[in-house]
Amino acid sequence: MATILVLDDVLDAVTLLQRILEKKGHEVCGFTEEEQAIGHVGANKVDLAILDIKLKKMNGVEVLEELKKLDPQIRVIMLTGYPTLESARESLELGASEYCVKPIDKDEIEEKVEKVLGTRTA
Amino acid sequence: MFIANLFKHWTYKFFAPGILLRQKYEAFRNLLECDKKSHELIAELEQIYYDQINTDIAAVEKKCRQLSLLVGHVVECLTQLCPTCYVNLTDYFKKIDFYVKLALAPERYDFSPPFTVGFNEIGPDNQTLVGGKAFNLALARKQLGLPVPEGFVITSNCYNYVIEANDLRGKIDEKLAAIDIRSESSLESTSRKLMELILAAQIPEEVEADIVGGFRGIDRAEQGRVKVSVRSSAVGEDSRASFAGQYRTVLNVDPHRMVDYYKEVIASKYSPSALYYRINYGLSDLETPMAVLVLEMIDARASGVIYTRDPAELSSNNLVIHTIWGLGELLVNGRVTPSIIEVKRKTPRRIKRGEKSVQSVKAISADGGGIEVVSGTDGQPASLAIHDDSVLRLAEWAMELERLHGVPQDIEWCMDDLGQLFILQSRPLQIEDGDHKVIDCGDIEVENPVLLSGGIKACGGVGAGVVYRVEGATNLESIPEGVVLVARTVSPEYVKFMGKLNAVVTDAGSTAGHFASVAREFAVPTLVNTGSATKTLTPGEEVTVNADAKVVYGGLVPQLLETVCAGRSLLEDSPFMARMEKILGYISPLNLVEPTAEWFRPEGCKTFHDILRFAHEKSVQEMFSLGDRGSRRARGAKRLVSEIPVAFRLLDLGGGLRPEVSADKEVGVGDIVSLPFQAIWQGLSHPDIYWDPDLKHLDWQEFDRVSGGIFRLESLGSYAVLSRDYVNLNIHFGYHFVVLDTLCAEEPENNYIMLRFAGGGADFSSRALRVNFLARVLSHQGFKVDQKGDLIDAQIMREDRQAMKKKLEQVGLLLGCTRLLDMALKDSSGVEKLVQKFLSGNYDISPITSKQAGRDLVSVNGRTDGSI
Repeated sequence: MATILVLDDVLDAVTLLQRILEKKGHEVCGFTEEEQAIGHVGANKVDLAILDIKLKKMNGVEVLEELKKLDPQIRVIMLTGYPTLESARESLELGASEYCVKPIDKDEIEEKVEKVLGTRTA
Repeated sequence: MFIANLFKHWTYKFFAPGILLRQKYEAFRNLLECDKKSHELIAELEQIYYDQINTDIAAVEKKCRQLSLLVGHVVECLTQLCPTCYVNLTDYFKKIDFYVKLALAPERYDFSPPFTVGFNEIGPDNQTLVGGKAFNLALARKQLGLPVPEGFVITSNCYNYVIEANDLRGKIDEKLAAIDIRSESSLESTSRKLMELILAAQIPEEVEADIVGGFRGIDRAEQGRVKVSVRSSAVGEDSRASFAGQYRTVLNVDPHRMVDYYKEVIASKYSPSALYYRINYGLSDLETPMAVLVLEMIDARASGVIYTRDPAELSSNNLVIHTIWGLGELLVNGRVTPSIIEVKRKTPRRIKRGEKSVQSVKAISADGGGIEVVSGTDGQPASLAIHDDSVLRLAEWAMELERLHGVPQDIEWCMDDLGQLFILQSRPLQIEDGDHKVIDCGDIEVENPVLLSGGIKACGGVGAGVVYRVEGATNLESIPEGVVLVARTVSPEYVKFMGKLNAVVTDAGSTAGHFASVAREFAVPTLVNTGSATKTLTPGEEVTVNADAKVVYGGLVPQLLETVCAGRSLLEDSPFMARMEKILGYISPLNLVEPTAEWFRPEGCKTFHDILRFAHEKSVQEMFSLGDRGSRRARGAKRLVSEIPVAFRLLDLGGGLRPEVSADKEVGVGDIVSLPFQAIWQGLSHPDIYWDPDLKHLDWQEFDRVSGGIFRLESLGSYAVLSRDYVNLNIHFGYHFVVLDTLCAEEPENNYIMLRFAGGGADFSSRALRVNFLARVLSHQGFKVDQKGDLIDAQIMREDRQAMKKKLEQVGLLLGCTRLLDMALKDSSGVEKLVQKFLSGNYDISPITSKQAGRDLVSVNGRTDGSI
């Protein structure tokens, strides 16, 4: 139904999310490298990006910023195992639709994805 | 840490099982204690939300912080009970904890420069930076080219910076958390402390420098002799919430004393009235930072207020210009009654010079600074000061402002000695909303004597109560609830009593005062400018005020009072309630109901309540599986076999069961030696209590299996720890649970019964009915009852054994009946009936309202010894 990009430095996490979302009928591309993910959004239309915060080189909030520059309409869900109020505020101010905390289960991620895809960006 | 625990755990298990048991019991007791306190806090938070109690968000933050610590502790205790079992529960706790903190977290607040902004520099994005008042004024000048005095703004960022630099945030929040706005003394004392904090604050050098710079910007040719007025321009002010008159304005300030006056104005944020007003609106302190507007002071020959609609007569299509001599403060403070000029809103603008009021005093700038009130306006009404061409110009500007903002406006203006007009302020006009029904006296027959008629309606509606006279602003003693306030005039300081007033009647004043504005926001019927209220209405007499018809009747007029619409709650759509809803969403809902369900796992925990439920349930299981793990002294839990479908597990601490059964897995009621338990059981198993006949003959194995999915009502997971004189009972009935702890020994000094009843399925109001029933019956039986939302705590102390046993029996009866209360109680009248029924010895609480049940109501005629 929608094109979704997943970015996490751990491959297993990416694959797991990919599997869950593909079962729901979405088209999912997974990445473990920040630059590749950003490049992908530069060249393709992506409806939703799910970003981990702790990545290999950059941090997820910076990636969020880059993606929003490339495509202000893109919706983003932040997903982190190390939540901080600071990064939550920053992400939401930069335009992330949701800030979710790991551990996250299938139901919660499906629910959040559905919610975010249902809304329009400002 | 984890490994160390594990080692200790296994060591004790093999070599000193007794110590292990005791440690586990300690952890278990700690867990129960924290669980108990957590539920109390949750009940308090729910109460704030459901009962719409006005509190500052700081109080909520404090409760959530405490709750977070307690729930964390519960998780720790569970880990102590079983170090290897629920390792990921901590992760889920941390996750939910974060979501709660995120929902609580206020908007980011900025304390970086600019600290001052000149009028001309105010841009369209600056509303938060300069506050509503300054923003609207800048807009009036820039977009409409209206004449506005020179000025600059000390920004809200500057205010935040002053708070930060003096490290006041924590202290302010602490005091705000403790306020009870329903108590005057709480308001007054907290306000005093907060204002002291601000007045004692140091203004940083950069800020002072910027303020001086701001002055130079408006000084022009005056060379340091310009006089200014210093006014609040807070975020949130002059918008949906007007904050009219709640903050301080200082007039005619000598620039050299600026910093002191700046502090006075920002301290006014914490005046009692301002606190009351803000908290009533559900706005947090952090989201209403105060910018300060510094405006060149105009020596006004005349000034006033324009309302682009007439609140006293909305259908008239007039705008109203109120005028007084001198500075406008005496008008907005209600001290002086203005002359009134009505002008048609649409062109051609016809002018009607209406009420002419003669002022005895006026306010002017004093030479040394400040203002003074002088007498003598030579008897001429102020409306003479403005000729028709000025009137038309003001009308035109007023309508332009209304068009610009899209809503009716409340505009302050003045005219200097040369006849030049200035706009000083523009904000939304507080008028009553459309659903207010105007009560027409002509239709309703009223026999009561008319004590007073006339005056102007400042806020419509009908209110009644005892007359309470107030003189001036200084001797405001404790005003009782529900009075009709009568005074010569009212000042903005009275706002802090707004919640207690059923109506207000004054001798002087106009619809154009701050108080009138706030009265409209709070929908308090207000009649002003009656001329004779203080002479005609006697303190202590009961009156009914019909502000729409401008009449005050002696005594109560029920026909009128019945037609009045309910009072508005300002809190309903407020930011506070929205935030509470979000926060409670992560705290209160219970998703984990059935312990045997597949999702009764850490992963299934979505709220603090879930975590508590999970931990409680698992901790109980842990305690009672100690026996199963084959430790040497096999004193594990035993199942109680009985006639009634209540699945109890018993753990004997010593002397609670007959020694012969110490190795048995199942025991009967006859094996129980514990006195308190026997008494409770007497009550619980009373023959009159109706248990569904289908369940009486259920096979226990079958029951266990089947109850996991289908039957939810009968108790599951209930257990008792007992000894000869002591019982700790935990009963789960589906959604609700009961904790009963009692010591029933020979000497009365240490005896007690502590009973807690909480929760229950169904919505909040059904739970409230149930709790009502319980509270009444328990009180009647001599318990001290404490009710918090849908949670009840009851206790009895130091009674002798016999009396204790009787009470325990009654409690048993109550518990037996309670499961069915949801079906029996449909509304509050049902509660009274049921209480009477129970107290007279009838314990069959079949659904009273169920007609198709086909069961006859079995009525037992009074127990002569059981009831107290």
